[in-house]
Amino acid sequence: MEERGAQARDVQAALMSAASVEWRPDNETWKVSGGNDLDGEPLQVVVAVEGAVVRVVTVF
Amino acid sequence: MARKSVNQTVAVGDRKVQDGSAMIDVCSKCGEYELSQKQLEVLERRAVAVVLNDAQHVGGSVLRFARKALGLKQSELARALDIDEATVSRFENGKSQISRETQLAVAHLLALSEQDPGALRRLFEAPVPLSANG
Repeated sequence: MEERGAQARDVQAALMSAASVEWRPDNETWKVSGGNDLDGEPLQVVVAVEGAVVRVVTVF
Repeated sequence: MARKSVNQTVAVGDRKVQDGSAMIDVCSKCGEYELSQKQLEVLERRAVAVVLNDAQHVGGSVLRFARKALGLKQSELARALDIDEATVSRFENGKSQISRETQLAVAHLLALSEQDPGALRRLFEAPVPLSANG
């Protein structure tokens, strides 16, 4: 997140505005695309769903 | 898992702030830990508040960090500070110098949101008065 300059609220905004999600079986994660950060810039988020917890793996 | 104090380094624009006050669940075997969104938000707000209060002058990247830590768009921060959105943009892009007064006003917003997380949201939902005299 730091390298991309993304903060917690950016990830939240990107997840809330995302348009599509793609399952990645290799590492059992979801690639969430089409969302934008707080400034309206595209931000893709890779998450893992572990029970009731959504863990952010990476952003780019 | 064991609850421990972990030293976190937060990059606030071009500055780095170390915070060891958060108690976090750490794996006793591998030392790995995770932060919840709420913990991360608190960490960000606390780090940028330190910079805003301590530094004599800050650059645009610090202001941008503070705005995002508050969860605000440029237009919303502009409204909270009673300045133009273009001015916020100029500050963040380093085209205008951020006054100490503005810097402390943002620090005040961070303190306000820490005490009452819904305060800023209510500010934007409140109707805008048509004139100063009501």
